[in-house]
Amino acid sequence: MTKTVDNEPVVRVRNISKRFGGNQAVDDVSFDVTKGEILGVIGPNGCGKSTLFNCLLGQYRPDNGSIELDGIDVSDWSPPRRAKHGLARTFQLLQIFETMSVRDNLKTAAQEHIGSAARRLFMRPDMGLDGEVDDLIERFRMAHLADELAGNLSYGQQKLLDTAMALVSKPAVAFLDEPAGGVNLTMLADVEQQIRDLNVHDGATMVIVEHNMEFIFALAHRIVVMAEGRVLMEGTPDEVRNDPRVVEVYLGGH
Amino acid sequence: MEQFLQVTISGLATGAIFAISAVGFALLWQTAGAVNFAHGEFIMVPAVLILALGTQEPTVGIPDFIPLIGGANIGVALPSAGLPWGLLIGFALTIPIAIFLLGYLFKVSLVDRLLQPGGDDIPLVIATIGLGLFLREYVHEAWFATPQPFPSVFGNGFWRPGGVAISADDIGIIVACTIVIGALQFFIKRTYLGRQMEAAAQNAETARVLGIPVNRMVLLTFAINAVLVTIAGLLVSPAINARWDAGINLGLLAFTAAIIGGFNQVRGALYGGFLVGVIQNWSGAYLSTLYRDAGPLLLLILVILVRPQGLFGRAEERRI
Amino acid sequence: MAESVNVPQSKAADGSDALDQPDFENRRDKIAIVDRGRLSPSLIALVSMLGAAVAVMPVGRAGFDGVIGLWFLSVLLLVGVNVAVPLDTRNGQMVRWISTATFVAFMMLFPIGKSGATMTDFGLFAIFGAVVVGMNLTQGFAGQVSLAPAAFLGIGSYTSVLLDMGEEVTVAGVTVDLPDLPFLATIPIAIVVCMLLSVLIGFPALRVRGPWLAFVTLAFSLLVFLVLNNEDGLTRGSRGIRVLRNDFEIFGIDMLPTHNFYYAGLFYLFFSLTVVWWIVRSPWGRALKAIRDNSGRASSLGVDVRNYTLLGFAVGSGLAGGAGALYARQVEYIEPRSYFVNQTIDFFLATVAGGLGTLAGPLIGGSLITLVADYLRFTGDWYRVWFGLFVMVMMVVAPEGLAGSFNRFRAWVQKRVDS
Ligand SMILES: Nc1ncnc2c1ncn2[C@@H]1O[C@H](COP(=O)(O)OP(=O)(O)O)[C@@H](O)[C@H]1O
Ligand SMILES: [Mg+2]
Repeated sequence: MTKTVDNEPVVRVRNISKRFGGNQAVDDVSFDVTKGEILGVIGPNGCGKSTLFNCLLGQYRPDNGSIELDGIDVSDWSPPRRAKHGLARTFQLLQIFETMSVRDNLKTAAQEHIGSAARRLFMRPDMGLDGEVDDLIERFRMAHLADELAGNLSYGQQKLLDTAMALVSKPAVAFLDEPAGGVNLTMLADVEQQIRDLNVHDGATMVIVEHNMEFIFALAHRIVVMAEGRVLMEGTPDEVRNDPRVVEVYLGGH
Repeated sequence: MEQFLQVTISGLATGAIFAISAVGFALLWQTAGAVNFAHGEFIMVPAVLILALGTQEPTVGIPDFIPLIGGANIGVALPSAGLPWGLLIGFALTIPIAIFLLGYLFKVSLVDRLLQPGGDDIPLVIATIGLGLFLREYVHEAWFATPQPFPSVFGNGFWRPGGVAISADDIGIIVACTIVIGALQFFIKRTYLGRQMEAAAQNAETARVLGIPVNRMVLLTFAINAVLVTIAGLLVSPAINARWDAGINLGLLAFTAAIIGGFNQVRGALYGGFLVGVIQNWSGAYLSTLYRDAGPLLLLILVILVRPQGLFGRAEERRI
Repeated sequence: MAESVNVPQSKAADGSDALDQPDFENRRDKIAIVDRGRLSPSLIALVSMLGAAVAVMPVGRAGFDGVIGLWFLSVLLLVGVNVAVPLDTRNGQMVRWISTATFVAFMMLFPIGKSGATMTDFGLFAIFGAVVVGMNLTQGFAGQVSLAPAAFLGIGSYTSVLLDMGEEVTVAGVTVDLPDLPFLATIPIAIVVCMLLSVLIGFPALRVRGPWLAFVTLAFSLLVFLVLNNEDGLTRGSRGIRVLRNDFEIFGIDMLPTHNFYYAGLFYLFFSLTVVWWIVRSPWGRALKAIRDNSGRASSLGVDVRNYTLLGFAVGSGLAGGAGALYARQVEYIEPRSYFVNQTIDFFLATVAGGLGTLAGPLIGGSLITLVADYLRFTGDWYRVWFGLFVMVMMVVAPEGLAGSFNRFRAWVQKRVDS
């Protein structure tokens, strides 16, 4: 696979800081996300990766800093508004609609991007999404599960569904928080394959937090390393792998 | 000017009562996350019990349908010696009953069952609305349907210093509530038990790790709430009589006070209580007596609109 | 107490909700998951049965009626068939349509041979049923407690009656000459007025999660009562207004006979059910369901939790407003006391008892507070004591309500039959 990326930034993150009481969880983090790339975010546990995501996607209000999407400052937008304008995400902890079918989970994830609220009231429940959704279900090899309640799926399948929900609306950037976390080895290859596939064939842009180094080094074009809320370094997987600071952060912490 | 002072003082007196009832409401919210929509009935029921158990001429007996003792008058009648002994005895007898019924039983039968950590609060809201209905209608059917006069512990005296009419009841209420609030603050800040309780309210997880019996501390706040509502019932009833339907307004004004002041701080609930009392009396005096309650309610809507954490509350990130 | 106590659970003031921590599951309690999203026939049958049972109950009413008895038996049969036939087969579909049709037909034919008093009860059942249908949209589907349905009923009643009288009113010293609109035209006006007001009060209350809407609507109810009671120039205060039914017709049908007016209520009930059914089956329904299941996730996927919830509340309130217009004519006399919090509590009971988040629940609940309550009058108000107890017990043992329990029962039977 060739990793080719053009240089136009879709998302510009500037000086994000977030403090919880005496704990500076995120400290002045800035980076760009370029169209079509997979950007890895790594760092030891508790270094603020999830908090950073929460600040970028609007779940938390950062103390400082801004996020721009296509040159528009979206820092004051609500989470749904950001989502509708193309910032999708998953959470570190599995978040799916357990009492709804797999297909309905995906339709929910896609429907707000179609038509106005008023039009949605008068659309058929499938909203013409069936083809698209089934396509994705097919690609994620879950066709036999399409009508199953999401709560009844295995953990790995739920994790995959969660990721699929972030991607079904073809977002400008999808922020995935540990998409492979807790997924068993056989599923892992599957997850990696799907993500690469979406990136290569559909040009999906993604920011991925991941603990599994092999996984993220294989996928990412570029990696941001965080430590204690700050950006320690940024570079290609090879640069990161060979940087002594990174080794120290990971080994020193243990 | 005289009228203004007069209105403000009686506003402070009503406010003091709202303050202690709002504090009880806020305590349950903080420690247990429980929203009690029967809070007003929790004030009304002890008032009725006090009347039943202890006035000199009991007007309320045991309901007829209770076997054997039904229809009997149970009030403790003592010769009046300047002090309303019957009332005070009734109060003393009501406190343990309230702690059991409105504290313990309420906690174990409803709150513990309906409130899962991190869960939704709507089931408890629904159940407490049912509880309020139950208590209200029970008192209406089993005890009395018409408002019963309720004597004041502080008598009916009046003073007129400089033309400002001040009733003994108002002053008594303000003094009594100040003492109650002071005692509560002392308990929380200065005693070991109180500090444990505060720790449990602030962060149950950490408190548990530190070996604080969190559940027992939560139960303690329920008991404190029961005592506070009983006091509130004793103090508020002379002005409004003991009545089965008093709870709707009392409850609403108590949460109004708690929300206006700020739920997440006892201090907020206190200030909110006084503010509600004063505004209520001002709007009664200067707007129209018919719209006495409108002032606080409008303020409530305004506060939720512009400052949902309350005037004295702090905006906080969700602790997750 | 503590000066730095953290807001427990879902009370963050800036509405933030992150879902990363294991101790914060953000799952709404599954009180409203029994979401059939459709008119479940067996439930309708059950309701009709309840209605029929009530209709034939000899207590204080003209006695047994042969037609009702037959109908009662056929409904029993239908319920039996329903329990036995799985719903998602072709036969199940047919059973559904047949029993729905039976229900509609029954309600339509019901007035035959009934006394005026019975029809007054059933007219009230239809109107209050519509309020409960709306309240169920707010509470069962949008997951928020509104304590203002009686206030909206009142606003609807007064709006409609005042606009239909063509008299002068004075508010705050300003005298306005109100038009004399036809009754039918006042219904949509009542609905729209209530929807606008509910958006006005719901918007701030739904800014943060938590039971704020319950508080605000309770405050609103009291304010409405104060205004209705005290604005003499507008509402004639506690004296109330006599509403005459003998001077109006709908589509040429004289509405004076109670039997005829019953149909007006019945159509409104069907209208409300259709509105809610439509919303629930549209993509909005899916969004509402997603919000109940996991609102944080829904919001991160673009579902605007606040707007959807607000709309659910507004539509629910609007339905109560329209019902108010009919209610005024049904009782022929309106006064502020009829719209006080007590009445809301009745609607609330009906909603909870019938079953949140089901379409048939409100019908069961509605019959509980009108028909059943009327037959229980002989207990004084004791039945209200039991209702209160019932709500508490139900939240503890069967939070999904009667309809939900019935669905659960059917699922249980189906499982038995399958295996
Ligand atoms: N809501 C919160 N309140 C207080 N502290 C928090 C909150 N969320 C995260 N933290 C703290 O912020 C730090 C960073 O956490 P997190 O972003 O989850 O790390 P990561 O995802 O990199 O493992 C941790 O010390 C964590 O305890
Ligand atoms: Mg994390």
